[in-house]
Amino acid sequence: MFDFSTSHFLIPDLLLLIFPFIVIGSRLFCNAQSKMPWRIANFGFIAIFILLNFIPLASGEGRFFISNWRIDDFGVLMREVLLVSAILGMWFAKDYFEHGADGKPQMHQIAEFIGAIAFATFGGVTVVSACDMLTFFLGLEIATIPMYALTAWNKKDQLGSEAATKYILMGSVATAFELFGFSYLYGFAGSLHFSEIQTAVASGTSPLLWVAVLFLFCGIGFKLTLFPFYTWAPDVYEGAPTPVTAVLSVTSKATAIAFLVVLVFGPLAPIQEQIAPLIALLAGTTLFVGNLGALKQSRLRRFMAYSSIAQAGYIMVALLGPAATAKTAIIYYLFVYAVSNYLAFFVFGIIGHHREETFASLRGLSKQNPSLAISLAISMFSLAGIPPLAGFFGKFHLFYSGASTGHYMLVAFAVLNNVLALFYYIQLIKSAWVDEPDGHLTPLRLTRRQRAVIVALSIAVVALGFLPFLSNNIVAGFSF
Amino acid sequence: MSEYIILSIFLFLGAFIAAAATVVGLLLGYRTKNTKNKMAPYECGMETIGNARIQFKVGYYLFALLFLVFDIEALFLFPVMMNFREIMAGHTALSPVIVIADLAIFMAILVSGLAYAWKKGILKWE
Amino acid sequence: MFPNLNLPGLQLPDLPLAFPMGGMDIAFYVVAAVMLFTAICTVAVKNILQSAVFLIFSFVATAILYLLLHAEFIALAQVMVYVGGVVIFVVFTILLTSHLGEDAFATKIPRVFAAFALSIAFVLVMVKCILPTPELASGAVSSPENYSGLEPIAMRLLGYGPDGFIIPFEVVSILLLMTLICAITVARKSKDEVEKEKAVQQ
Repeated sequence: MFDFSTSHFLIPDLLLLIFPFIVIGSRLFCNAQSKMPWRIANFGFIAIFILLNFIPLASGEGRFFISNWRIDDFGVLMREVLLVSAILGMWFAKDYFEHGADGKPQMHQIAEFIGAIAFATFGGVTVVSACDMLTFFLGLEIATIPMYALTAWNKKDQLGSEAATKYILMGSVATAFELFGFSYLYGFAGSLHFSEIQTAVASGTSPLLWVAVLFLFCGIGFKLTLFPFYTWAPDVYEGAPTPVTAVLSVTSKATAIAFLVVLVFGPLAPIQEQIAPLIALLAGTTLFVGNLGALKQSRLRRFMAYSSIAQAGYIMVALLGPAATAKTAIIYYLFVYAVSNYLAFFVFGIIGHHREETFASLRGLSKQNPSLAISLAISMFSLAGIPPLAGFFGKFHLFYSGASTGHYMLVAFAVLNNVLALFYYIQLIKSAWVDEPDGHLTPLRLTRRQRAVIVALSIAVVALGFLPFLSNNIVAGFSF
Repeated sequence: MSEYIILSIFLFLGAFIAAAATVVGLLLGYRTKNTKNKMAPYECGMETIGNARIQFKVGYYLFALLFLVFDIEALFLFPVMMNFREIMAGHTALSPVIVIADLAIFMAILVSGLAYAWKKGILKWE
Repeated sequence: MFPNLNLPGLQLPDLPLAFPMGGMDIAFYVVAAVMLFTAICTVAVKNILQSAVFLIFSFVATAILYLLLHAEFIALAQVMVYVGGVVIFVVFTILLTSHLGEDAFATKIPRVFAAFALSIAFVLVMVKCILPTPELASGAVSSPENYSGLEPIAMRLLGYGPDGFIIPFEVVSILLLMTLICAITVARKSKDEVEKEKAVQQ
């Protein structure tokens, strides 16, 4: 095994930073048909992911670099989640650059697309590594701005541009809210560094702090699609190209959750108990609204948008728990969520190749391609949280974290909502397994990459369920 | 603070002179009726057709964007330049070599953006 | 200076009446009034290009406000980036669209009354939250002398010690580069796209 001295932990971050330069640069200096950028992108992302797995997890304060950059356990695991999302997103997107799908034309400029995803991933990494508000804020921006561009990536698609406009308007308002909150937090604490803010918060609160907290939660509520601020999500998820929707629902959500985790268990840790009612309210309303919204959808991406709103609500429940439990639960659930979500999107992508992405297109899937239908069922059951699958254990940890500080009412509410969620996830499975197709079905074609990824993800969803306590880094050992 | 007083005096003086030029002209000027000939853009020349506000090419947008990016770069370099001499002379807590390296990285990242735009043909006016 | 408001249900804490009415205060009120007036004009005028011009004045007034607060770097940023860059950008963007540059563009704000009520409620809440802050009432400056001057900002921006911000400084360049690449990709057709379109047409 490698022996990393402290500064070596920075290597994956630096590689991730240089990575988009190399991918985009190779695109500029190779001819248009060259496969070079794609190969470099694959190699780079996977190499960074493997390197991350070598970082041993050691509990404690984490390791600091020039006082603005900290690598701790949560950060390392979040990096892995973000990279898994980036790799899967890239593989998923590849087909959309080769042919049109879901009635939309083919996309172009794959190197820039991968570069944008890499930048967004780096933004997420910055969020989990930041030790001061400036870096923190910049990280969130770096994670968000590529998403605006990715939404509008398909230039010939009017709906995509409309969605991007909506997204950028809402996103800018959210950013303004956040900056406002940060400025009040600075006014309250007199410092940008998290450690000093924490000291100031611990020594007493004032109305300034509450204003700051309120605005910070409003701002991040937009990005995390929490209850009163979620309205942009269905439109944007529907309008964006399908691979972008997949990336949005995982990378962007993971970054926003990481932001909240860093905030709640970092500078705001001393008042976590006081803001618990706010978190509980946001979590409860969000998961209820998400579940209600998902009930009536017929378009697959809109359905996934509401499903992901509800999932954000479930994840929020864990924020109520003690730091270590909550972080473990959230990381584990994000892994599970990423894998299940991408599995669903891969299946949708294959179906959407020649048909529209609606529930009706799923009909007859079990007869036409049973393995695909099984994968879809696995992913939906996992998202719904059915016992042997990963989603159940993920949700169990989330609820356990929430319950361990005595928020039984909220946990009970979330569990009840889960029954509601089961109903609409089963509706989707029903249209794939039970409903008869109306008329002739266009044949489904799977590339080798798609087949491999779907098999791997299906196995992962099942296996992660059986190994729910693998909460340490894969290579570095099993002690947490 | 005194330089700001000077600055504000300049600001007000500038505004005052501009305003005074208009107002004095209005007060002292010899006025005639606005005849059609007087209001024409040129006494001899073509009549204007349509609105002056036409739709711009998207190229302008990209130029403005490039300008904005390098504007922000200049903004961040400006305070550094204010005490660049002291840093180089070693009068501060910062090591000159590291500062140069930092600035070089900062510039290199942004210049690579310019290189990208160049390679993509943004700088070529079609 | 202010009369103490005696509204039922709204108990404002005692306003600091020992407010010095020096030159700085007068300058503040003048600048703030100009800023508010131009800001209202920005949203109220019919012609959207005129609103861009009012926006410039509003930004300049904001910059002066920052100077009055001794925030030199922010004032510089306001003038260089917002007045010099963003407004130009806004004007270009207006002119890029096909109809917005025309005079007949009307702004219609739905639910004006609700918006006003919400804004007023917001202002009242903020006032109620901020006024009790002891530092505000005493007017004492909590940061050291020349803390936010250009030179100290530069030293902190480049500093790699415990209070340095070298990493955010470099991250800003990444942010700018990324924005540039994303905007170019979205706004401009690449060569292979143009070629493909030509091939389709032929």
